Amino acid sequence: MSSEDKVDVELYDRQIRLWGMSTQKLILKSNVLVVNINGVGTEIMKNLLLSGIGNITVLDEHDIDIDDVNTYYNQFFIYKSNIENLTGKVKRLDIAQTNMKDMNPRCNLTSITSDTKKLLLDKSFLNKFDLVIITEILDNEFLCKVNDVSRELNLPMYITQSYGLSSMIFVDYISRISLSEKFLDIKNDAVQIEREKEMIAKGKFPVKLTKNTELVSKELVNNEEDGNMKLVMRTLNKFISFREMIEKLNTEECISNQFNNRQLRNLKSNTTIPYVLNSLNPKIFSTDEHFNKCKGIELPAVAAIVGAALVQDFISSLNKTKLINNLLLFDAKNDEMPIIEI
Amino acid sequence: MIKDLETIFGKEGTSKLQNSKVLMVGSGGIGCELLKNLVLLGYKEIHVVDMDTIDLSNLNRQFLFRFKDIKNFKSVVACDLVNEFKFTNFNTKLVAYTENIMNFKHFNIDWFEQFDVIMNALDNLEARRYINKICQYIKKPLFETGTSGFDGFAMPMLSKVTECFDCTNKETPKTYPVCTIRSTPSQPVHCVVWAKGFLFQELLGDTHEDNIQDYGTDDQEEIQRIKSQQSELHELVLMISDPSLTNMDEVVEKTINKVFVDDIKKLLAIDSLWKTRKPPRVLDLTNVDFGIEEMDDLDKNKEWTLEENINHFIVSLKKLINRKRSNNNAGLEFDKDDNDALLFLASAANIRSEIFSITTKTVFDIKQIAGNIIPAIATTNAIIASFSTLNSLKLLAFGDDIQSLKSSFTSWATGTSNKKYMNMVRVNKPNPECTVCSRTNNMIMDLNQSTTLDQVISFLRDKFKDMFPEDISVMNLNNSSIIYDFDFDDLISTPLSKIINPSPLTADFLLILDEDTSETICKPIQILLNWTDSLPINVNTDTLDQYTKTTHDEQEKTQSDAAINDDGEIVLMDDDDGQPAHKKHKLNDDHVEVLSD
Repeated sequence: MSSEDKVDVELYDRQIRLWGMSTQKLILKSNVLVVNINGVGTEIMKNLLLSGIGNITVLDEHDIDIDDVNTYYNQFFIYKSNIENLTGKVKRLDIAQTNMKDMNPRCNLTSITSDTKKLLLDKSFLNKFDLVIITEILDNEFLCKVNDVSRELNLPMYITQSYGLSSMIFVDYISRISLSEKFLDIKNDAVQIEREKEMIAKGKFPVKLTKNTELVSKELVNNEEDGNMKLVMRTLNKFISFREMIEKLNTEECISNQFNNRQLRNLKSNTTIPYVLNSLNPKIFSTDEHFNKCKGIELPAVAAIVGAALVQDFISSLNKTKLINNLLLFDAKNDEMPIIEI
Repeated sequence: MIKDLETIFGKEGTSKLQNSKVLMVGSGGIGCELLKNLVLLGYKEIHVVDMDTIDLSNLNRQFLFRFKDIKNFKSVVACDLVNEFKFTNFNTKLVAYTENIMNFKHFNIDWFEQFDVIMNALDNLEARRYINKICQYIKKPLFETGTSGFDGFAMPMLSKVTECFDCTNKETPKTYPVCTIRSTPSQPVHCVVWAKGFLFQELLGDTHEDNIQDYGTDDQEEIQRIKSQQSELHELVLMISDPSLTNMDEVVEKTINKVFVDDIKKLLAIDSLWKTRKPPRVLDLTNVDFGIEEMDDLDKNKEWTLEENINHFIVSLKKLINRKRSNNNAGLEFDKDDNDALLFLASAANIRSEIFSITTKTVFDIKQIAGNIIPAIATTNAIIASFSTLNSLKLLAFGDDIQSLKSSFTSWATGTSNKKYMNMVRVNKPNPECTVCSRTNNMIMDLNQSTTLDQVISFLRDKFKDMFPEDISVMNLNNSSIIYDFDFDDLISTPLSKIINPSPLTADFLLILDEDTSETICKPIQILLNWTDSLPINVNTDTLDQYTKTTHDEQEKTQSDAAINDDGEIVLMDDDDGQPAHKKHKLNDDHVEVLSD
């Protein structure tokens, strides 16, 4: 074992104990593109750097105005000591990248501070990455185009948008197989084990589990030593595109069909989650002045929750566990955080 | 003023936030995230208490720390770094403390009372209980948090209004019967517990198990064996501690012969043990080289062969004996980060596993079992810290009642729900049976060094009138002695400070019990004594809780009804299984599907 590997194990001890060495190696090998480092982007960068990711490219052409704290109040990769001798406008990423590198010096960090829109439609640029994370872009027509390109390249993508106390994450892994393992006790779960055996013997697969998920295979793995059995299910998850999602949300029956009664009640009577959908679907929910003011605000704490949920989902994608399919909404005002399959 | 904050919280809410004073207990995994949030949101004053120093294994999640900070105090390094980005409110005052929060000399009751809210970011039960208890007296909102891997919770608490940390039983570390550990292990963990709690302690440590009360078996022959095994080990200990015995190979050979050969033979002789179990195999020592001095570092993530384990045992035991001898034979303390001790423990546990036909474990796994290591990741900590932050925002900026806040539990990541990323439920009412918050009247009394016991009692009678019981007894909780009752009033005109000898390190408590025989009984009054020089005698409450036998029973009945959350889901069934409430929230997937439709 080389000395460098040894430090890795000690440093990442607490997470290797959770997701294992093989996932940790996949994290190290990953190559991720992060677009924009406002509140949520900053949180995403922190979580990616901490997790031990090998390669990150950051794309951000935004300026901050040193003389206007409103343009950088929610940043924690910009330090007072970095800007005390500066005035006027500077590139946000130029200042932040030094402190990002300092958080994980072993990460290959590339910064690009121009041509965001052009690069996001450039296939040869996007092709290098294993994942694209887009934050702080609210132009849905443009996002649809980028998602069309990413789908063509079979490139997984996250899009997140923020509205003050509300926020959303759109997840697109196009199509992927996930594994779920459930441990059954041979003594206590005898009935269930019998039932599963029967079903597996019939072998009527694939079975539709939900609208977008099909069961590909199911097997019982015997582990007599520990007195338990493992039920392994392989499921095929189909994700819908950003464009499709907006189209579906634009039909009234989608709202009533896709959500259960309770969620629907909340969507209609509460105030904040509809705001999120409102931006995707202006026809159904009337706009609200306060909501429009909150559009694009990436509030600390809310941004931290969204940034953490997104990175955690990406790490799950590496070890084949279930993923958010395909919209996560968060409404901090009304304490709702549903996952909705459109 | 920051425009975005004003848009969301309004001018008034933002200024309330920028006038609030927070105590943050702990600046580790959750603490770093919490501190960042509070500073970015512009809280006025944040006091951070943490006695821990930074360790390499913290750096995967405690994002305010770098390699260069290892061995420095967490609270100090965390405050120094967030000082660099307090843009929202340049005047945010950060105060770092490196003392133990339970040190009452440093952190007395007046100190605690200066804060608007208390936010816990702790990793241990003892300190959580302590802060919870303090909050019962100062009656300030407490935001409690905790994480373990993908699992986490954030709960708001307020004395008498919501449940407190001790309203539900908390899981305590699992213990194993003595007989399982010493004579009939069947799982890898049994062998690890044997290696750590018995072999390492007896041979190299200085705490010894002398008074075993419960052997976990009635087999007299087996109990006799366990007892004599201990005294036989004593000879080995004498050898290990004798610096004149310089032939280390011999010392190690005798040790291995004793614990892996002779002891096993003697166990095998007890027939009753092996009627239903697979008997152990005696270790074969024919090809063992006791002269080995060094081993190459093997992969700690792979399972080792028996030979590799024996070699590691020999090498690490020699090193540990030398360390013990060179330190005047002072007992070694097991530390999971001490490589020699870890290798000794892992190889001993694995050799024993081989003997008892149990699967062996890697050093990595054994470290986790022996060191009580809890997996921890940045993302769960960020989520939990932020839900706690949002609750404090709602209370301070929006002026929400604590009852309207939600307790948040991870649910998607831990597989308990497919539809909700977090399970957010209404806060529970206090458990009427809770001895910390419900079954006593808790109050703080300001008094000075000359205040007499009589003055204390008269003051309480005057203050609470009929609510205060006629016939009482008073107890000094520092040493559990009665200082006053109906036929013992000798101390009545003595200053209380003389009677109870105020402790310099911990808080002083009085307990007043209602000795009346009437139906309505005043709940025991627990008084935290706040010694001051100037203030007149006073207490921080206006009412005393009472109960009658019947209402007491009714309260219990109400508690056992299932609580319903906002979504009409049953979230808590009182089935007296002693499980913590947050475990009960985690219904399995099937339940969630049925209930949310």
